[in-house]
Amino acid sequence: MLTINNLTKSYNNFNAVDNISFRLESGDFTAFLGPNGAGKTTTIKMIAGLLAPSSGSIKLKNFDSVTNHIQLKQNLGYIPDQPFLYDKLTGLEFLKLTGGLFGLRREELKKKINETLELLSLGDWINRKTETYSQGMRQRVSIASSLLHNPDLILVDEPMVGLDPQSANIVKKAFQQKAAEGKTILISTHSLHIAEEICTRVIILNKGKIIFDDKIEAFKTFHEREYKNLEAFFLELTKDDF
Amino acid sequence: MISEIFHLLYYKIKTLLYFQIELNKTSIVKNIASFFVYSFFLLAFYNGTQFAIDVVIVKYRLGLFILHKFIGIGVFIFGMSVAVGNMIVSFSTLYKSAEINFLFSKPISSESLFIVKFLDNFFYSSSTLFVFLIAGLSGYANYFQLPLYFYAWSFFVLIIPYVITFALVGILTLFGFIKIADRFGVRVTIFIIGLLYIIALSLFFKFSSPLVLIERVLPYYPNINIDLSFMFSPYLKYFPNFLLSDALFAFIRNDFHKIIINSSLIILISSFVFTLAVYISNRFYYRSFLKVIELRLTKSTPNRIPLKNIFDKNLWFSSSLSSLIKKEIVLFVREPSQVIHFSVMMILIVLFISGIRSTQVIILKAASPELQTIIYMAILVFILFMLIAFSLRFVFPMMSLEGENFWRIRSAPIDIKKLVFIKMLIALVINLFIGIILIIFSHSILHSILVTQALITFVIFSMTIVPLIFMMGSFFSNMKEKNPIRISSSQGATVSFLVSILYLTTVLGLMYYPINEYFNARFFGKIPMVENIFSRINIVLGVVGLFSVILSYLISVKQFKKDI
Repeated sequence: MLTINNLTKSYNNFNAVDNISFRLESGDFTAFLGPNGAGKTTTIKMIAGLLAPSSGSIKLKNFDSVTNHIQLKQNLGYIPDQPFLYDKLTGLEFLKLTGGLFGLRREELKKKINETLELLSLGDWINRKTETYSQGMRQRVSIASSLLHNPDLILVDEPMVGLDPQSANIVKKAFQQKAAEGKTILISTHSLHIAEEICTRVIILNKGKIIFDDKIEAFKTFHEREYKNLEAFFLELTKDDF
Repeated sequence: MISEIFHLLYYKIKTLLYFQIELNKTSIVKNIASFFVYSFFLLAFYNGTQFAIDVVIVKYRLGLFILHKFIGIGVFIFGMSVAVGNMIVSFSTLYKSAEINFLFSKPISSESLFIVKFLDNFFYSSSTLFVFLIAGLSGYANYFQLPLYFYAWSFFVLIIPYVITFALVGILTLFGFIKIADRFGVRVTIFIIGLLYIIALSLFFKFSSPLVLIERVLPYYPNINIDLSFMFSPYLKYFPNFLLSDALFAFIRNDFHKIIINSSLIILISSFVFTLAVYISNRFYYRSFLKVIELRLTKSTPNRIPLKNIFDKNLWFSSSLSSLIKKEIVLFVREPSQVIHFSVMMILIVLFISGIRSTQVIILKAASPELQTIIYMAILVFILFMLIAFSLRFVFPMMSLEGENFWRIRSAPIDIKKLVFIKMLIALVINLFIGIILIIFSHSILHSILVTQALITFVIFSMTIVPLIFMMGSFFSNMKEKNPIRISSSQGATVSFLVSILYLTTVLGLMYYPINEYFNARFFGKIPMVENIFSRINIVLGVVGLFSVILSYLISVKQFKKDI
């Protein structure tokens, strides 16, 4: 599904992402963990086509991020940490706009919008202008807009920041449902508990390098055996930064 | 691609429509105020066009041919301004906005995105321009009693394609800028592009000098209302600006053949530049988008950050105010668009200063006191206009740029009155400093009466305009807009510009008589007795200025305290 090969991103002789490689298969629900500045967002932005790799390659279903970036984006649902919405559009209009950008036809779009409205419990607010939305509502609309075209890979950057418990719960369930449908999800988060609760695989990044990549069960077993809790394990792995 | 473009445009228009029909008390007051200011200026522009034509045709009897060459030169300068303006605005909207990041994460082709953003930019920043062009065209058409179809033809077939051509030239230059900057660095590129711009302007004026034009044409008097293009370079007439002005001239002569040919050529040039821009955007826009991000990220290395120790030093004010002022300075210095614009204005000022001595000699040697007055007033207009431009670009956005962090100021233990006062003072001191340098250099060989009066006028003008524009900026503040360029090209900024121009016109109107009297007296070897008139004008302007300062200060404080 997604193949990252020797990916590097450098700025002024500093490697923000340093020669990383991994592969995500259909149905993988992967947590991308790491301290601030580890290179998570840089990697996600390179996959989303918002940064150019210095070297290495990114392929989604054989579409290369440099030579076939449009086809790659057609199969991708990118959810940024700061949702962008047009303030003067209603949530529904924003969904129609985004669906149209992915080439969805009217009937299909209508069906997909109804599905995502239900999935993310968007309710009546969807007919109000997005400038009136709370952070949680903005994030949910942003997520909904990225799921409309039924992408094979869902790329999520810090989805829980600023969300109230209800919104966080809705968002978690939505991702779980998508994973159950066989979608591949890569979710960057600081929350170890979310990773443990909903993900099937964990990749830990530190100083641009992958320092842990395994199934969630291995992650749990390892930290339960060696450390008293998840935080202690994570701090030990990334201790140079603290 | 077409469906993509229409889909995006449909929703872009929708956002604009929602914006326009917002009905609340503040919005209604702002819109009514804007309506009156716009109406006044449109009327002034309409009458001003007729007056200017009358001066050329009736007062100086320069004839229709020269009039239209003047129009050609005027629209060239206008076109170049459109190109530069569009280049600056496009850098923000095509590369730096959150919207463009959102759109580039979607499967949209670069050329579709380019077309949509170009149109968005173009109509957002040019709508006011078009309204004024229509007013000017109406004045022109009414003067020459042109038929109704002239309005539609000249606007849709001549002017819109013409403006689009120059706007696209601005974007193509921007593409070139990014390409060169990637290889040679931003500073070298600014130098190269600036040099090319100056060379282009110099060459244009070398080959189409207004003085040469008059010298060559006037010997044909009274046959100066016919097409005399044969006297000039055969290539010059194919410049889009002369194609446009010649087409207007053809309307007056009912030369339909010429109208059709020139209009077709303008559309052809516009279509060619558009096709070229779309082709280049297809190959280069997405790559350049990634390149700009890279340049921005690479540039922010810690050892290059200016003023990095400023927060360790004490200023004279209380610590909270001091922190806010330091923040103001640091954010300005570290925002490339602010620094680049500031540098461009400084370069313009240096160019002005370097050439001003010869202009003063021209004033002193001019053949008539009227000419001396006009040239002197032109210098004064430049200086005062520079102050307005400077204030609009840097003072107007001051409150909006506080952005969504405005709550920090509101919740901090600082006196808002003091804060507003200090912000206004900083703006005023910088403006005064630049203006006084300009006055001193531009009056170095002129008589002390003029120097003193120019200094007094400038100080009063600054004290009126800077607080006024600051107040307008706080009244029309948009805390969600982070881009200072978009803030200074917003509806509120346009209204402020028009109000400032109104004040500028009033000041010039008041100053014209005593200055003309002064040059008259000097020309005929008499002692100028104008101090009394100057004093009275100073008192009137001083009182107006005082009102402006107090009122602007009070309204700004109120705006800083309002709920956002």
